[in-house]
Amino acid sequence: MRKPSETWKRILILCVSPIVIAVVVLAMKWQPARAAASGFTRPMTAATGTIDNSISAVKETIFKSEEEQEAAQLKETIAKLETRILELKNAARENRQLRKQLLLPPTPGWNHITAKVIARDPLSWNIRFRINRGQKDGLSEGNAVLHEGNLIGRITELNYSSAIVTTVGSPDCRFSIRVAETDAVGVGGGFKSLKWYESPFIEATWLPRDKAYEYGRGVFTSGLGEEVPAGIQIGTITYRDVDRKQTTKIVDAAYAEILIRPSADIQDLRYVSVLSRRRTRNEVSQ
Amino acid sequence: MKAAWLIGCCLAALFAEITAGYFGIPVPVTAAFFFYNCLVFSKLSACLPFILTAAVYDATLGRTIPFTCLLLLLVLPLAAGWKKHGDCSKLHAQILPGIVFAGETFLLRLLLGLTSGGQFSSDSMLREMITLALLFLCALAILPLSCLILDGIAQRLDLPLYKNIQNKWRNGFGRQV
Repeated sequence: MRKPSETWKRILILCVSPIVIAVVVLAMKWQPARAAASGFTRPMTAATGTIDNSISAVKETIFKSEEEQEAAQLKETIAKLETRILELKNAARENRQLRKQLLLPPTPGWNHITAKVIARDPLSWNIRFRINRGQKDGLSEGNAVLHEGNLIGRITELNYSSAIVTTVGSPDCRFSIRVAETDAVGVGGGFKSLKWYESPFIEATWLPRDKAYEYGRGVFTSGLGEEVPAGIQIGTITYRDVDRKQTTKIVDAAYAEILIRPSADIQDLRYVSVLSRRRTRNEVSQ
Repeated sequence: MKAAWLIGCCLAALFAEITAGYFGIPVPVTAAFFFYNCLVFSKLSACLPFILTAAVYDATLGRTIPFTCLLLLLVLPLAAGWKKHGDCSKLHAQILPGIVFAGETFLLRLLLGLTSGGQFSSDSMLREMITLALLFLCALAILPLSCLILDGIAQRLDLPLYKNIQNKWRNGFGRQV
């Protein structure tokens, strides 16, 4: 006969196992549970940020001369950018006036929100990471995330004070693209390579088959859709078949597919910018 | 005291793993602490808090595959096997489960990477190789290190020690030492 303690143990295992499975499934699939988990670890990610800042401060003290050089270069860049901003402001004013004359509705503006990377998975380093901005900062799902002016991903999961960014290297990140000089528009997304050791590429599909897609040509966001503005650099066209030097694959004699090498450096990220669309009064009231 | 110890271990593991992960170092602290607590306490009492911790960690990083939870499931039979056939009293002997643990972590990562295609790819092949090698080495080192550190703290708190657990277990159940 089985001992009573053993029977109780078995009953306990039977009760605990579904709880454990439920916890794991909820944490993986149910958005509020994921939000609660990220909220729970917020003090820890904040402490990690403090550790990172302290390390940076120590580095600054040790490598002061390098920092001074970098600061001088940055000052020069800022001066150049200020001139460029003035030019753009003039162009925007001109654009507004022309749109008014043509009775066109005003173009939506974009908020530029700087965010810090607070948690990153070492096992999927180039696929996704968490930033310290969320719903309360005006972010919404699908917003474009940039690093040094290049598209690096989109917001795929949003909590009150943080968000998950899925990078352009992931097949889960989809966006509308335009190939420079051809005006061909298609849909881009991370390329699910069959060879695990290959670099991450972006695969653009549904492109017109009659255009020439030359190696090295730039690819930008098309601006179709509401969450990503037009003209953000994504990458350059690369060979699909290196031996045959082919860039294009025609699918079912209907549309073309190309591979894009991302311009953004996803490896070393500390700060990123999120482009959030400025809502009109009507949208806000709705 | 046991509950407080388990909660403390879970929080410490979570913080250590988040901090190391931020700097790109893959250290499976949660799984190593789980191994320790599985042996010192019962598997059942360690299971729920550690699976919960692993789920929180996976959710924080936005993972779609619960890597840490799966790793804990692999650690369970290792802990049971080591409790039965291994030697917890000598520190250098912990290298053996350390190797198995590192192998499990490495293989699980490799398997998930291979099956999920794009998940594994990176800007440079070198980075992935370094990550895998680092993961193996960290897993190899963290298990004996966890046993040493946690035993040091447990001794001060008058809690059952990992190094003594087999003597108690074997003598208690009348089996040979």
